[in-house]
Amino acid sequence: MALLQISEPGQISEPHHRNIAIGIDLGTTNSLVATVKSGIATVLKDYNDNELTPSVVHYAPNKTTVGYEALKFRTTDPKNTIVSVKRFMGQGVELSNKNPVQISSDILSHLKQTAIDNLGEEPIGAVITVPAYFDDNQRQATKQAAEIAGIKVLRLLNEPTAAAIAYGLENTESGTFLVYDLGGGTFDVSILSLNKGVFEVLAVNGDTHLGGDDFDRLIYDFIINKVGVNHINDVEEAALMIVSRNTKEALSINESTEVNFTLNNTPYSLEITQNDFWAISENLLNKTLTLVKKALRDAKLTIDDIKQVILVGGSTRMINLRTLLHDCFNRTPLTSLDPDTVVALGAAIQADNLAGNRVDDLLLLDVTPLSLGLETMGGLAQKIIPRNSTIPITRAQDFTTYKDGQTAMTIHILQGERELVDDCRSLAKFSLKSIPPMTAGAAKIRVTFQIDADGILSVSAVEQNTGVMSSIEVKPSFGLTPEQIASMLNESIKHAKDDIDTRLFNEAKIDAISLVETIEQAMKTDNELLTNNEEQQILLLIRQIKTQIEGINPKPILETDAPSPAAIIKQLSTRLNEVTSGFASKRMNKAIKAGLSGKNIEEV
Amino acid sequence: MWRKFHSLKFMNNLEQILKKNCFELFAIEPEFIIDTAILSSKLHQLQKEFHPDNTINNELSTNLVSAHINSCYTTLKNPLNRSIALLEVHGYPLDLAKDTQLPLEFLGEQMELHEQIDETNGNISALEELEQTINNKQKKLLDSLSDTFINKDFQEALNLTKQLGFYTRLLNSIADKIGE
Amino acid sequence: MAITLTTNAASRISTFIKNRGKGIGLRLGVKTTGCSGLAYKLEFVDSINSDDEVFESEGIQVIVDKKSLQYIDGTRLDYTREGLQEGFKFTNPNVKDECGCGESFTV
Repeated sequence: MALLQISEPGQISEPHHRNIAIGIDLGTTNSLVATVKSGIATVLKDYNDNELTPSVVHYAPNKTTVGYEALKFRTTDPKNTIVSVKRFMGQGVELSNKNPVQISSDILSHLKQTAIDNLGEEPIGAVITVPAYFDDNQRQATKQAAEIAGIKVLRLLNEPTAAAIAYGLENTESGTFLVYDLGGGTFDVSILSLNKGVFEVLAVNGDTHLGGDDFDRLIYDFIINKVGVNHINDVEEAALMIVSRNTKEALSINESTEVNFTLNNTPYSLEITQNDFWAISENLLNKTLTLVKKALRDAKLTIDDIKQVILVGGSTRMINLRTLLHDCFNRTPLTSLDPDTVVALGAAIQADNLAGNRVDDLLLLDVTPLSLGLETMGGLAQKIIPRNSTIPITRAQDFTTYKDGQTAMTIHILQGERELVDDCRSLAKFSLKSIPPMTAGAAKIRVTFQIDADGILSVSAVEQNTGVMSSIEVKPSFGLTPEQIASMLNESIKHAKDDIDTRLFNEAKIDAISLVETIEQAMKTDNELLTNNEEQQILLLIRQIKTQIEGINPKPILETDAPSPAAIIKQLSTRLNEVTSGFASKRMNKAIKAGLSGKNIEEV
Repeated sequence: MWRKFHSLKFMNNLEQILKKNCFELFAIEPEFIIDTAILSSKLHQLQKEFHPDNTINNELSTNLVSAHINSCYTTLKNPLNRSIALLEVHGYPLDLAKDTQLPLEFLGEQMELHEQIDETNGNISALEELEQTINNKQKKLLDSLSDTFINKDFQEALNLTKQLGFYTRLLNSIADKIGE
Repeated sequence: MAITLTTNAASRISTFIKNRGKGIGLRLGVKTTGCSGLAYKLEFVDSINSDDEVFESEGIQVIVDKKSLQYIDGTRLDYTREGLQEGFKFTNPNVKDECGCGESFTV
């Protein structure tokens, strides 16, 4: 039985249709799932009381494990233990013969199960956070991973924006804020203005391949350099990477730390100080500051315009980083919320908002991080939507043919800031065919770029004189093909959906049986309150429900379009509830007349 | 529920909005001088109603409307795009890519400025200094442009807008170089 | 009779109201739901209506409208943990039958 939470006045939805939605922070190092309960955003814990789930997946021939369980294999079976998969999202690589999308979907499935265990029911959907600087490919890949995990994506939300939501609601502040988000593998800087529940992002910048992992790597290289070892095997490397991370964490608290490890069966002990760490990490830290300056420039603001600097991401615990930021902004950054959980909490608040559970207005106006455009003559990129444009957005531009009688035009879609096509990321290519032959320059081809609220692009091209049209939803070049997604979906249906279907079927069955029994009892005692027509309808529905319950066995259905047996039963039960509502209120009135107040009550 | 269900009325409303020009949509007079604070608060007001986050069902159509609103916001906020939109309202459509006829004197100055950008060799402070010079020139141009619109001299406004296009391109090019 | 809260429920409600930043208590109510009868609702309260009854339990104002009260008078509200789930649970002496999920009931 699902336990109840407190709702806002007048926001109660129908019973059995509570709009519980979750927020997921799918991080490079750790992932979290959160929801809003009785008005409070809360991180959902697993059975071992952990808030964080390491974003680690271990693949054994017959078993996939995720999180702390998988982490145990990191040193014993590093080849089949995937860490930091987020760094490979939207790229054409395979890790342990698995596509990054599939690996991420395994992490998401795990989080979804944690949510179900906490909520007692399946959430209606999720807001999943992505780095603000994720490009179109990386966003699409994340969305695909969620689809494979059977999660309805209510929105992809930029991580710094999510953090600002958590902070903004906490403090109900207004002004211009800068979010400095250094995660395990990605860096974002985002400048937002907050005003009466409106979060307007002014500019973002970042690097999707710069994060805490890189600082671990610097310490690792420092150690290797210090002891002068050339050869190191897989297992030792994995172990030393863990030592390096622990060293970084120790240096986030202490001035210096002693590092102990074994290489080639030789034990070593080293002292690493804050000064050592500063010396090796200075370049990387300054690189983040350069990106901060770029964002400020784009927002046409200076450091003095920033009211507060918000720190997000576990890596912002580094002392050297905090010192640097303090000196740069001349004030102490805001760290009152846990940098590890703040993104998930913000995502949960937005999920609750999208599920329709909030009464007050919350409006997010986010931006696209990178310019979008297309290839023009001479290998040049022409921008159609400049970076930091508020999304969703539609922008159209007219092009023409350059040869007499030209009947086709190739449209090459690009993302990035550089002038040369080769320096931008190629998102997709498609052709507008059947342009009627005209003299050069006579055709008018309108190319429309649309970015939706998830930051995902679609492009269409129309020849204006004839209406010949072609369009494309830009699919990631290195993501999965529709066939691959279909086969993975089938795979996961075979393994997991079996259980889910059975559970859903059983739940629907129990509810339906109890409903039918109640009604049958009521029909016996108060038959005179029923019209003939009502009785016929009720009996028909009861018969249909019984047939569904007895006749069908809850095997997975492979055509995803067909309603599941559980859904059919639920549908019939809803219908039965509707049909009997008149009967129900008549019975209640009768009961009241008979006993309690003698007054007629309307709907309570 | 504060989220809007899609009634027929709401859908009609969406259609009306897509037909409006940017000035009509933001309910501001078709003039060159605008109050950016009003623009921003009007954006918030419109998006509270039409942003796909705030509406249930039919996300596709609200996405389009919300996109149109943002598109107009981007247009109105930027002086060059605002000027082009304003010219169109007054029946003087301008295609910057095609219509590049300008006085030789102006084009000469542009070439000189481009050369100066190249001569900085990416030196940030030199670029910033140049940026300041061009900003000042642009500011003067914006003042004249504003006057021509007030005097309803749209032909002259068209000429000045073409020039503004050149300054904008120069400034973007400098910003990109500083960014690198 | 009255509506009562367990200490645990009261302390949670007080936290939730404090976090919300406003509110004078907790509203318990029922709403009709087809033939499975009635379903509970729990809401924050910003204002008291003329047909409301107000109880006090464990320092929390519990508000119930008169119509709902007939079905839930004598209820004890607890905040409990079952497995990983946490939330409020009704113990209602008027209930004859409950649906499988405990959200709706008949009297």
